[in-house]
Amino acid sequence: MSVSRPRPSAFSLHDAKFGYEPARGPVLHIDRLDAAVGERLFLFGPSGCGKTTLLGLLTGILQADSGVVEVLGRDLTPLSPAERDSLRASHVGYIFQLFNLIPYLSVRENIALPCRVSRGRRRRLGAGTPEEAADELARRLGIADLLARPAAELSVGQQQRVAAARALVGSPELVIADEPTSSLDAASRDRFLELLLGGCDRDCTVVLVSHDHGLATLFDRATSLPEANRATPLG
Amino acid sequence: MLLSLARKSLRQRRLATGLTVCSIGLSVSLLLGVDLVRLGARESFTGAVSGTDLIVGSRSSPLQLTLYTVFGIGSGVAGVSSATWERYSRHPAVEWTAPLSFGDSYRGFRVLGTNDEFFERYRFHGGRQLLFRAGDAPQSSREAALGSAVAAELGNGLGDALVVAHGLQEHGLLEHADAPFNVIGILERTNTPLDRTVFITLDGVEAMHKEYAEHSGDDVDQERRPASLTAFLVGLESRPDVLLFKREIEEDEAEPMTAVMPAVALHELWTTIGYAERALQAISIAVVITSLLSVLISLYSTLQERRREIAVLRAVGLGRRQISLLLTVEAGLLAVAGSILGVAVVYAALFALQPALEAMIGLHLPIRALEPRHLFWLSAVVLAAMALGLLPGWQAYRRSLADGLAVRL
Repeated sequence: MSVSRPRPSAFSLHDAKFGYEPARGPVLHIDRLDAAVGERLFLFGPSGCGKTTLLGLLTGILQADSGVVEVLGRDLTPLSPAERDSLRASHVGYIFQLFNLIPYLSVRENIALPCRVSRGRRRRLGAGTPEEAADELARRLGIADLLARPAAELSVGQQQRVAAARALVGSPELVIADEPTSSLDAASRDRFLELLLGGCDRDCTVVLVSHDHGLATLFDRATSLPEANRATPLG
Repeated sequence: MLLSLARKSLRQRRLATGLTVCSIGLSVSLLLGVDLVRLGARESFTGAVSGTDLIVGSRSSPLQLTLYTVFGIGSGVAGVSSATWERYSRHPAVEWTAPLSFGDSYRGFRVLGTNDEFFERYRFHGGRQLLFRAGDAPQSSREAALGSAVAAELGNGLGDALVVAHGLQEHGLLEHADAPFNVIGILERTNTPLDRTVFITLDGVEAMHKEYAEHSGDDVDQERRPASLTAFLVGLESRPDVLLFKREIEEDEAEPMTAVMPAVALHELWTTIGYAERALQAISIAVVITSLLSVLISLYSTLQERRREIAVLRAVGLGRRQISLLLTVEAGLLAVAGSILGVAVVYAALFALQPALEAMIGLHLPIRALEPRHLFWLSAVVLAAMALGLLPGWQAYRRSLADGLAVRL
């Protein structure tokens, strides 16, 4: 299915290379990969295909050795680590496969955390406090009854929903999910994706990486990371 | 933000946090405690006599003279004649004198023969005056007054009769059985050796010894001849003359004498025994350092289990610097909590032990505010903890580079 063009891209990689040790060559070399603003992109990625490295580049945790990594209109490569951290804090929501929550914070505090960390993220809330935004999101994701609970007491399914709420709080332009459903059963997996995709604004770009082809149908477009990666990653 | 994260993270690990805080708290309380005891001991030692310009006794070492007359420590010094004392008390430069005659004891307490001038002029702890809780100073040869500790420990009250012994043994070998004294006064507590002293008049000393000599038939009491004193205190009209006057006494042709400025002598003595207090201080500093290392250990040991947490914090936008700062702040919070605990322990101990210390070893520790020096130490402890926190902070910084968002455990 084609998306009407031209649309500005949410991120784009051109000839981006990254290697953990220069001597051993790049583990990731992507000629071209991009996503349009508002696009829901499914990245098929079995383990060992450079998935973690790619997400590191997109979030600005890692810095490409060469090439262009552009996120939300800004080339990340020349930015300082602090600038990349602040870009990530204000514009990117991130969901891990597991262990998303800070165990010593309550559910409400976990959801509000990105807005507490980043002034840019908080500004987009408008008048409300981060906690009010957390409560509102929790209602939408059906976890309002968990808000006061310590994160450590939650089931995995509950944790992932809290993680989704945290990724969505303050309406970031880019939401990245790394195998968010791999530890969920089929029913909670579908429910989770429904909530995640439904919870995003129209112009929010979602990138989901998974080894589970079955999820692809829920997305605008699917790309295979092993095909996109021209380097031969190790392990 | 970081502060509240650090606080909650520490609260999550209650046990480890609690133990570390206790460790710092105890070491800080040791550090402060040693110093407060030191200050208290010094004050109660050097403050035992003040307002007296000179202590004059027969020729001896200044230290021996001071220790014996003020604290009753060491062997007695040879006496000085009453005639000399009387001569100096009429000296134009002298404002007042007070005779001191030691050598007898009452059930282990020193007996001091003196006169009214002593009760009026003696000062201690920076100018405090001797006061009577009940009754008055002894006037006749049959009257005595008791220091507060004597009265408290022996349960003697006004009107009781005492039998004084020669020598300082618990049960004097030679009791002046025929010369009982009548208690007519009890002094307020002074927190000086005077609390453990029985006061009689010079006439009392003389009468007692005369009776004893009559009984035993020979003059066993050579050095304690009634005409002789142990020493006398001198207050001058003009304090700046003290050195001049001291020399005059020490060059006296009639009798070889030593004159000591008690404040100077006590201060010198305290300085010479100061190495012990410095050793104590060094030990308490070592203990503080050890407990600071426990902060380091406690933070290091949690780093492994916190890698996921750190990855999450990175993902929501914390920089690596902020991650290391988080650990540094945690170390600082541990030290702050420990210091507060330490101060609380010191004051609790001070309140609890003050009466016991005073009763048992006569050491009066005033409950005082912390000195600027102590606040400086406390902030040094906190800063040192934070500096040590940089180490796990740096470790977290390095790891979070390697881990990024993927924590492989």
